[in-house]
Amino acid sequence: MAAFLVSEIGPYHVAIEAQHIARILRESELTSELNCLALPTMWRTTTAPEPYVVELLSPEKCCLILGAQTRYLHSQLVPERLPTFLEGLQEQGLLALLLLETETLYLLDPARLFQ
Amino acid sequence: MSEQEPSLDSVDEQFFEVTPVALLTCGEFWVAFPVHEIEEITEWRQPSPLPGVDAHISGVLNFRGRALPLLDLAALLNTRASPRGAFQRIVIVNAASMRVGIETERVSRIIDARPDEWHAVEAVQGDRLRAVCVAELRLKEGVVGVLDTALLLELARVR
Repeated sequence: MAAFLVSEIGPYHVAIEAQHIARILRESELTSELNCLALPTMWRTTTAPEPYVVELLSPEKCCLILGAQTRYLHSQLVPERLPTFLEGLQEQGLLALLLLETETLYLLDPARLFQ
Repeated sequence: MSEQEPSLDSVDEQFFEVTPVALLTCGEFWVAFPVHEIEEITEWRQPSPLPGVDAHISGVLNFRGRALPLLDLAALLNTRASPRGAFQRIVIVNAASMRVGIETERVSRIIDARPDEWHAVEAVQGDRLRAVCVAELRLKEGVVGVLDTALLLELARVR
C-alpha cells in the first residue's frame, strides 16, 4: 500500500508519494538555502493562507509550497499513466493520475518540477 | 448540380465512404463525427480541472475506472455562442491512439448520409472549424461540418 501526501491547490488536487518527502515545514521555517517553488503561483491559483511546505529528498534542498487541506492517503490504487492526449503534462511535472471514486488526483513528479 | 456546386469527387473519398455519422452541436454550429470513431455518448459530468493547460481542455473524468480527458470543442474552435456551462452530453471519441470526451450541448441524431448530401467544405462557418473539417453535409439542421477526428485531437492535445 502506497502513501501519498495530498493537497488542494485552488481547484487542483495533487499527490506526492511520501517516499519523496524529507520533512514538512512551516512557511516561517523556510531558509534561503532552500530552493522553493510555490505551486499556487505557478498555476495561477489562490494561495492558501497557511500553506504546507514540503522539503524533498530529491532534488535535495528543494521544497514545494502546496495548498491547505493537506492530508495523507494510503491507497492500493495503482497510478494510471497520463492519457496520450495529456502526455505533454509530464514536462510540467504531472507524472500520473490517481483515480479515486470522488476525485482525480494528479501525481507530481518533484524532480521534473524543478527542471 | 450547378457548376459552382462542389462535386463529390472533391470530398476525401475515405471520408465520403465513412457513414453513418453522429450530429452534435459545437457552439452555434453543427458538426459530425463518423460513428466508428465514437465509443459512447454519455451524460455530462463536471471534470476535475487540470493545471497548466489551455482553456479548451476542461479536465479529467474518472470514467468507469479510466482517465478520460474532456475537450471543450467550442472553445478550441472559437465557435461558442453562449457561456460555458450548458453542456448536456459527452461524446467519447477514439482516434489516433487518443480517447477523449467531447463536451456538447446536444447530440441530434445518427444518420446515413445520402451521396447527394455530402459536399466539399465550402459553407462551413468559422476559420478554425473549417480547418478541421474534411467534408460538409447539408441537412435539415443546416450546414454540418464533418470533422477529421485524428487531426482535431492532434491539434488539441497537450504538448
